[in-house]
Amino acid sequence: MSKRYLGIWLDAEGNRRVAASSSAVGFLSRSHGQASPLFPAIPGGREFSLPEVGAVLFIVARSPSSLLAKLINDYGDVKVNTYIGHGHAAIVVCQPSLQECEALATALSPEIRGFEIWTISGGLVLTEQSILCEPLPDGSWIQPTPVEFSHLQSEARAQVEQFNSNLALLGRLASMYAPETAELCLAIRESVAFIVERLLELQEGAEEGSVHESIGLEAHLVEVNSILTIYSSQLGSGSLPLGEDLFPVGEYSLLGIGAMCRGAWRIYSHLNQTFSQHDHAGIVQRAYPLLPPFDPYAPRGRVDYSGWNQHAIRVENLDEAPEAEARLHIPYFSSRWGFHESWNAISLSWQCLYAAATKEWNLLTITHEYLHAHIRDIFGVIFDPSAADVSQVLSDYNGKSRGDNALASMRLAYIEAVVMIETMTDLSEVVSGTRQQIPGTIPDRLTEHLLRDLFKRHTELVHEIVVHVLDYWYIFDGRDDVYVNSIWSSWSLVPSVASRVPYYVLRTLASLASTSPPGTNPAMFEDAASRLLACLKSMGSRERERPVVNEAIRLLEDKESRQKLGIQFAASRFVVEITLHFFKDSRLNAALVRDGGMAVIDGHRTYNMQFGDYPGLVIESPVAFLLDRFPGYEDQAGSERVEHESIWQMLQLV
Amino acid sequence: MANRTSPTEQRPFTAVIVRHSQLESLQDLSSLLGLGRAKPVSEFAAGEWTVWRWEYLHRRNLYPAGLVGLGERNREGGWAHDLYVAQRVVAGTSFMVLASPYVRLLRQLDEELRVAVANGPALRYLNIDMPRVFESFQSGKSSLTATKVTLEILDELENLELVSLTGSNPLNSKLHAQIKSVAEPYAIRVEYSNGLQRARLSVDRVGNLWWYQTDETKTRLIFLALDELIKMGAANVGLRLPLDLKYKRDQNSAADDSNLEDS
Repeated sequence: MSKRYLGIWLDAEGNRRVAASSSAVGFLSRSHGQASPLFPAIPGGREFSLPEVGAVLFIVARSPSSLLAKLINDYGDVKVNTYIGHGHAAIVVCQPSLQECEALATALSPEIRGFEIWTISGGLVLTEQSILCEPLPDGSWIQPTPVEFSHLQSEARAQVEQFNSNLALLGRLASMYAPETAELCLAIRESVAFIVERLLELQEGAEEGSVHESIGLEAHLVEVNSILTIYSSQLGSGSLPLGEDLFPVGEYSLLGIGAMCRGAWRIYSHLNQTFSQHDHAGIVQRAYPLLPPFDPYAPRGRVDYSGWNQHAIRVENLDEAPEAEARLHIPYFSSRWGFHESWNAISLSWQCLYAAATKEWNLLTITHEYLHAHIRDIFGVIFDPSAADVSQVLSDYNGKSRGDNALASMRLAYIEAVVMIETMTDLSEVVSGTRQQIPGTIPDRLTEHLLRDLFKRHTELVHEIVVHVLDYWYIFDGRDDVYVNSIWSSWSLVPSVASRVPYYVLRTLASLASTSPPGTNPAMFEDAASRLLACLKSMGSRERERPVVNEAIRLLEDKESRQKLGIQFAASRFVVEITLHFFKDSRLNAALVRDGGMAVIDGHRTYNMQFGDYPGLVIESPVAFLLDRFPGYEDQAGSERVEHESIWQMLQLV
Repeated sequence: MANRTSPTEQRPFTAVIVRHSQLESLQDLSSLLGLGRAKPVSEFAAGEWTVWRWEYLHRRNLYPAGLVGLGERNREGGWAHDLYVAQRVVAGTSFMVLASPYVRLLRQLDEELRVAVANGPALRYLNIDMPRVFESFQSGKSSLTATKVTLEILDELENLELVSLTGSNPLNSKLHAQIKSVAEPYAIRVEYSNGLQRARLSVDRVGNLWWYQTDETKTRLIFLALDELIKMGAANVGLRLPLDLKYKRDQNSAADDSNLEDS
């Protein structure tokens, strides 16, 4: 057993008691009871226990990975008594005396943001012989100012008032424990200030639909507040002095999950910075209207996409400096949403706190959510099917015009994609016998009603395919085994996937086809299907049965299902080709995985780190690091080793 | 100066640069390894470096199995493994180069030294900041010549990871200009000449150095070249033994580097 809980409670005399145990439950049921798990810093090391008489040092490190590298490598006698956990005080060291703890804290002071030392005797914390050194706000911190709300109407006013309080609290905590989130705090403030400005405009004017828009904006404020309260609670959990505030999640109630939140921010901010530096939505918006049109329909009939190989139209060949600051999401942990992306936030599954070192709950899944935001921004620039006036685009499409410029052509290609998906879905149902004949929903000419209806039904698939293809290239380095294992492990635990397995198979086929040798649709389908089948079968030996994986294998082996998928694949390929010809960016790909600390061994980039190593490396690319870790993950959650490795891994990123 | 290297030891030497406060001379090294007073076979200066050639006696199990040993390497106390040890001070800190044709020997030294210093600060290994070295060469600030550069290709799928460009000045080639936005500097081979002779030293970004060892006149040039590289690529210090990261470079791959020897 390597997992042990540090727990505290108050005895009948009001004294703080402390103990180590294999369960948190006993602590939590006592008066003012709190507990958190701790693991040996070195795997296989001595499990956590408290000295009968001695002291415990809780360290809030600027960078836990850097401090642990020093502690483990340079202080030979200390490392055996060093433990790691989820909180801001992620490093806990037991020493024989207060003086030795103090000396250690002094020696490591450049690396330390704050610390607390408890002197312990017979299970009692000797408060008068304990030391608290609270973190100071970072010198470069700029506290976001409150948003002015006095002229707003009541509902919005109440929300902004709440927001200002939430932001003040988050700002104070972040300035002390996670100053790297400064830009997030400022960005959230700016986002709300922008909403307030718009609300005031709507209040003053008499624009049509202003009430509707106001309600939408107020709902936005409600969501911001909702996420902020969760985030403050998570990021501020385990703040010093320990035991004073309670994080209301039993398992982590004493030390909190602050270090894990910092790790999540590190992963997210790396993605965000990289994508925003390449600003594809901005490039499409600014450069495409100035470029000549291309033929958006030609590939459909001839299945020949070579006409799209126009050098100038690919986003990677269009140099445009970003004009606006990137939108930032709040990355937080959620058991309700799992991995999920919304306008203001990206959530990571709560399970990542204890099982990020499994294939099921691996952190790379966040990249998929992030890519959704990226792709939605790009397609938002290309075409908004809910726009009031779609007559021009209908006229262009029905007349098979190319449009006036590359942006107009891309808009028509987008429409062509949803039309193809509709057509092929219908055709596949006829071939498989689900329908008797083509229902004829696609007339010669698209109407406004039909256009909106098609987008309503098929936008999700178009976006998913683009996201999958980019995820497969950018994040997974085109590695079939890792990619398929990651997404299907993750899906295997999502109940809703079970009822739509063909849909998920199609999405996976589309991404694998992006590296198939160019050819006819059936040839590319067969190539992708055989590769997918091989990868899925290799997942079959798992201890726990995966019904969706078995169902996917069945679909790919069943002649009729395979035929149906093959027909639908033709439309998916159209979207794959759009992605590869226009939106895939080699420079962005390179920036995402660039890390001079990696070595190339046997043709693979690797950090060559084993679980429990503390080489003091600054991980420049969390994406590359997580990809490097993935093949060594266990299949499923539940073991102590997985939880231990999940913490170790996250601390490397902070 | 004992000049010509024994024929058995004429092959690519691999080296690492180690930093530790207890490692300031060959005697320090020998003492930490518990070997008493060291008797170097040769000793010479190369710029700021003091270089010793030492015969490290050990069982023959560090010697590559595929090579037939010659009787001349047999000594009382073990097989004589050639080991170059060099030391100099950079910015007030002592650095030591350990160079040997036997990668396993360097690993063994690392393990033994780690144990010897276990109660204090750990060994640190130095690696060269390769992007800065590349930049220096591109801006023409060096007295060295870069004849081979290796780049890590970042946007390719798993089929391709490293690409090397060779020539008189590959860093100023069109090809390099085309690929550098999707590549990261990985390794470099430099040439250093004293007008009479030239020597080639290769260095990668994780801290491995290697050269083809022929005689100690050239070894001297190698260390002068290393000085230049350290000057231009402010070194980083890490805790990893570079050899662990090295692309499986063993004696078996020696043939790949045999062309490094100057004719």
